[in-house]
Amino acid sequence: MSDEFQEIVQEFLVESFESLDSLDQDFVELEENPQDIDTINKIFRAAHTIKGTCGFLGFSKLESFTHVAETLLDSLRSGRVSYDSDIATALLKSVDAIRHTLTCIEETGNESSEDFSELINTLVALNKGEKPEASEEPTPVEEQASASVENVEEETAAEEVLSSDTEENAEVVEQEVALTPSDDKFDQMLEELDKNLDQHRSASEEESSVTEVAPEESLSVSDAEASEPAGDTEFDPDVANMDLLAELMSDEPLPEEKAKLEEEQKAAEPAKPVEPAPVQKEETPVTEKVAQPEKQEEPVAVVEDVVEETQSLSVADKEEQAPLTSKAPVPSSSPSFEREGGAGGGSKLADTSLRVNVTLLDSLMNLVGELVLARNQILQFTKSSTDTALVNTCQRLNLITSELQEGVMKTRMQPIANVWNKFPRIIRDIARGCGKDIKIEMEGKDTDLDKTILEAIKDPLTHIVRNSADHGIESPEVREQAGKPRAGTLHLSAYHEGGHVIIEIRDDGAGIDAERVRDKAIEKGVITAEQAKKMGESDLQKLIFAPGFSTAEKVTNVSGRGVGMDVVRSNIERIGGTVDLQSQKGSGTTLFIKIPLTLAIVPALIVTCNDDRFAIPQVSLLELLRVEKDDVATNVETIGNSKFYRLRGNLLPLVQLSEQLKLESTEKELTGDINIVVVRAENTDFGLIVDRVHDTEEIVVKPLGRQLKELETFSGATIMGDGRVALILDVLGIARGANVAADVSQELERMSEAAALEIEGSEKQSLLLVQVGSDYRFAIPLNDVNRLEEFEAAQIERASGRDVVQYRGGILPLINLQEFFNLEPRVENAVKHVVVFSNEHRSIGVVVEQILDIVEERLTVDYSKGCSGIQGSAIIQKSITDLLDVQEILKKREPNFLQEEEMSSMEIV
Amino acid sequence: MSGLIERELDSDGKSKGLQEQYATFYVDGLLFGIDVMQVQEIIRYQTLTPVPLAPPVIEGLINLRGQIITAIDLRRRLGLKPADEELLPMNVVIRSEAEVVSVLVDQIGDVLEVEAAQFESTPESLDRDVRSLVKGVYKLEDDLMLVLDIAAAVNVKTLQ
Repeated sequence: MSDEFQEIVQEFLVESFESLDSLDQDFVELEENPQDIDTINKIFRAAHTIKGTCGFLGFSKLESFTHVAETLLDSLRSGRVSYDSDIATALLKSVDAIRHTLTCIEETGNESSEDFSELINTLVALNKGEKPEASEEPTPVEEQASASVENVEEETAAEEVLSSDTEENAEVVEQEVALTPSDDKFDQMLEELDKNLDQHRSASEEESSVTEVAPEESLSVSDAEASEPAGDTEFDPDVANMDLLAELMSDEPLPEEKAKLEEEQKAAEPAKPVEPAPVQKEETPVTEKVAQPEKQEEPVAVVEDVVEETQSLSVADKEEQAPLTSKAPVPSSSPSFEREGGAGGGSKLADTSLRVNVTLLDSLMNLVGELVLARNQILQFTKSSTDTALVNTCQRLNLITSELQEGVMKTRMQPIANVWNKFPRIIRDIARGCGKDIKIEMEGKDTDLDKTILEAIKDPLTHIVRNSADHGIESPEVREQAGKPRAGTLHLSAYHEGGHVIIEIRDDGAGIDAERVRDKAIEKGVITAEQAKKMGESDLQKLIFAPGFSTAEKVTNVSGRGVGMDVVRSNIERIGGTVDLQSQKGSGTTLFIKIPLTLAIVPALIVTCNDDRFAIPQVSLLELLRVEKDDVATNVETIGNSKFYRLRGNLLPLVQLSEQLKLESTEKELTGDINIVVVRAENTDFGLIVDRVHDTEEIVVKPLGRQLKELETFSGATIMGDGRVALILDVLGIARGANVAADVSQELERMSEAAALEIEGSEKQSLLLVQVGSDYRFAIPLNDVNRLEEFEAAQIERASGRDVVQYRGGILPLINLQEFFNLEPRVENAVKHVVVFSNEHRSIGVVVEQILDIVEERLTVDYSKGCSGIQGSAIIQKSITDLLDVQEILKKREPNFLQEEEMSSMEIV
Repeated sequence: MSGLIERELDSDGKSKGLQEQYATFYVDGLLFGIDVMQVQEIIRYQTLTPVPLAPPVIEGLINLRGQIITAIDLRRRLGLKPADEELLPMNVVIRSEAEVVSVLVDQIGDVLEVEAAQFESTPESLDRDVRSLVKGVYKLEDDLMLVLDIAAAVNVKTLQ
C-alpha cells in the first residue's frame, strides 16, 4: 500500500472511531425515544459513511456487513420496523463488531477473519420480521438488495436513471447470493473480490479523476437549472467521505493519469450519463435531501463485483455531495474548506474543529514554558530600567505571554463528557445482562480536563462505573424489598474544586458490606484476623483497594466493588489523583476521585532542605505545622528510631527529609524550631520535616531522564524562576522509602509484628498512659488502641441504658472507666477523651479523664491482679500503674452489644 | 564549536566517503572522540542541581533552554580520579537513543577527521573501567583518540 493510501485509511479510521463513539450514545438515546427521526437519521448517516468509505478503500467484508446493518436502519427510518431493545442490542453489537474490525485494520492493515454471519443473520431476521414481502425473497442478501432497491424506487426522484442501475445491481446481487449461505464460499468469493477490486480500484481512481471534472459541470448545470444554492447548505454531507474523496482525487490518480488517459475516457463514458442526471433531479426536492443520496448508493456498495459503472456511481454520488455542501463552485481539492462548509449544514462541533497531533501540542507547551521563563527574566531586568518604551513593551510581552500560555493550556483541555459518553451504553448492556434497571445521571459534563489525564482516567472510571452497575446496584426485586425504587441510579458528577477536578460516582445500591470484605480479605491473606480486629468499618471497606484483595470471579459475590480496584487506585494515583470511598451498607456507595486539572502545570509547595529546593505537589499536601523549639520536647515522641508528632490526639509519623534524601550534615536530633509539612500518601498521613517552607508556585512538570526514572523519591523536575532546576518530591515514594506507609497490609504486618514482640515481653512495649478519675493512672498497650477521640459532653446520648455517641455514621458505645472501676471522685469534664478499641466486629469507646502520655518501656508486670479488668501492675515512669485488660472489659460488655445491635439493627462502628 | 558548523563539516566529510568526523574532548588527560552527529551542542559549565539518592556518576540536572537534562560525570563514569575543584567541567550535550544527556568533560578539543585505516581495537592495556566504555582507538599522529561508546556511557541505572 502506498503511504498516501495508508494515510487515507488512517483518516478513515479516526473518523470512523469517532462516529462509532457517538453511535453508542445515539442508540441508547434512541431506545428511550424511538420516534426520534433525527437520531435515526444521524445513525443512518454515520453507518452509511463507514460503509461507503469501506467500499472505497476495499474493505469489502466490513462494507457488506455494514450494509446489512444499514438496511435495518433504513427500515427503521422508513418506519417499517419499529425500534425495540432487541434491535438496539443487535445494532449495538454491530457497532462493536465494526469497531473490532476497524481496530484490526488499524493494527494489521487488514480486516479480521472474524465471522459476522451470525450477526448478519440476526440483523436480517430483525429486518425481515416486520416486512412481509421480504419473506418471499430466497436469501438474505438479495432481500437487502431488493429492499434498498425498493427504497430507491420509492423515495428517489431519480427513478428512471436509477432503475437501470438497480437492475444491474440486482443481477450482480444474485451472483453473490448464490455464494453467501456457506462461509467457505463466502470467503472464496471475498478472495475473488479482492482480486477484482484491485483492478477495479485503479479503474475507479481513474474515474474519480474524471469525475472530478464532472461534478463541476453537473453542478453548474444544476445550479443554473435548480437555482437553489441556499438549500444546498442544509444538506448534511458525509464529511469523511468527502475528505477521503478529496484526497483520493487530488493525490492518487495523478501519477496514473497520463498513462491511462485513454482508459479513463472509456471508463468515464458509462459513468457520465448516470451521474449528472440524479444531481439535477435531486436538487429539486431539497427538503428530502438529507435522506436521499444514501439510498442510491446502497445497492451499489454491497456488491463489489459491480464493475466500473457502480463504482463510478458511488464516486459520482459522493462527488455530488461534496460540491453541494462546500460553496458550490469549489472543487473538492481542499478538504479543510469543505469541513467549514459542512459546518454550515449545522451538523456539529467536529466540523469546526481541527485535528492536531498531541506531540505538537506538547512541544508548544514546552515552548510556552520556556517563553514564560524568558519573560520572567526580562521582567527582572526591566525592573530597574527607566526606559518607558522598554518597560511598556515588556508589559505587553508579559500579557501576551500569559494569554498564550492560557491558550495553549486550553488546547489540551477536553470535556469529561468525552469519557462519560461511553457509559450509558455500558450501563445499558450491564443492566440488560443482569436483568437490572439502571438509570444514569450525569452532572458537569462540560468539566474540562487535560487530555493526558482524561486518557489516564478513562479505564479506571469505566471500571468503577461497571462495578457500580454490576455489583453495587441490586436487582429490581431486591430493591423493591428494600423499599427502594426498582430502578437503580448511577449518578456521575464532576466539578472543579481548588485546582482539582472532583469526580463523584454515586450509586444507590447495596453498599459495601464491611464484614464480608473483612472475611474475604482475611481469606485472601490480605490482612490477618488480628489486624482486622483493629480496623474500623470504613477502613475495612477501603480494603477493596488493597492489592491482592480481589481476583475476578470470587468477589462478585461480595456485595460491593472489588474487581481490580487496586489497579484503579494505582492508576489514579499515578496521575497525582486520589480515590476515596464512602459506603453505607444498604443505601449505596460513593467514590470520590480527585484529580489534578492538568499534569503539565501543577501548584506545588517549595521547601528547602540543605539549601536545595524541592517541590511538593499540592495534591498530597494536607497542612503545614511549625513547632517552636520549646514545644518540640513535649509534642514530638520518639519510639525506637521513629519520631511521632501529637497532632490533635493522633500520632503522626515524622520523616526527616534530609535523612530520607541522605543529605549531608543531617542532624539526628531535632533542635530548634521545626517545620512539618503534613502530607498524605495513599491512606497514610505523615509529617515531613524540612528546613524551610516557601511559597506555593505553579510549576511546569518535566520528566526525569532515563537514568533517574527509577528513583521513587522524585516524580519529576521543574525549572524555577531563576532558571535553576528543582526536583519534585514523590510523597508516596518517600513514604515507601521511610517505610511509613507502604501499603495497608504491610503497615498492618508491621503492627502485628510489634504486637508479637510485645507478647514475648523481652522487647520494649508502647503504652498509652491515661488518667481516670482524679488520680488513677492506667496503661493500655498501644497496639490495642484503634484511635483516640474527643467528644463534647453534649454529644453523648443515652441508648439502651448506656452512654453512646454518634461516630462515623454509627453508634459507638462508651464505657466509663470511672464507673467501671467505681472510682471516686467523679469528675465531669466538658470534653470527654475516648480511647477507641476495635474488636472483630465492632468498636467500643472507653472514656478516660485525660490522655497522659505514650511511653515505651520494658515492663515487669506483677500479675497478681486486684480486680477484673486489670491485667496487673507495673512501674511506669516511677509510679505504679495498672495495666488495663481491654479484652476482659470488652468481654464483659459483649452480651450487651449483641442485644443492642439486634434491637437497633443499626450498624456499629 | 557550535553544533551547526560541525554538522556542515560532517556533511562535507560524508561526501568524501572514507573519513569520519569526531568531536573530541579531554578527560583526565585522555583524548576521547564521539561521532560528531551525536553531539547536539557544547556548553559551558552550568549550575547543577544535585539529585540526592542518585548514583554518584550523575552529577546533577541542568536546565537547557527549558529542557531538563541529566549530567553525567565522565570522570566518575570512567573510574578516574575526580577533577580539581577549580576546574569547571564543560557540558557535551549528546543525543543518544532519543534522549538528551550531558556528559561532563575537562576540556574540549577539535573536531577531527579520521580515516578508517587509523582505527584499531581497544588496547588491552587500558584500564578496565575505561576499556568497557571505549569502542576502539584511532592512531593520530601524536595522540590516541579513544572512541567513546556513548550508549554504554549514559546507560546508568539507578537502583534504590
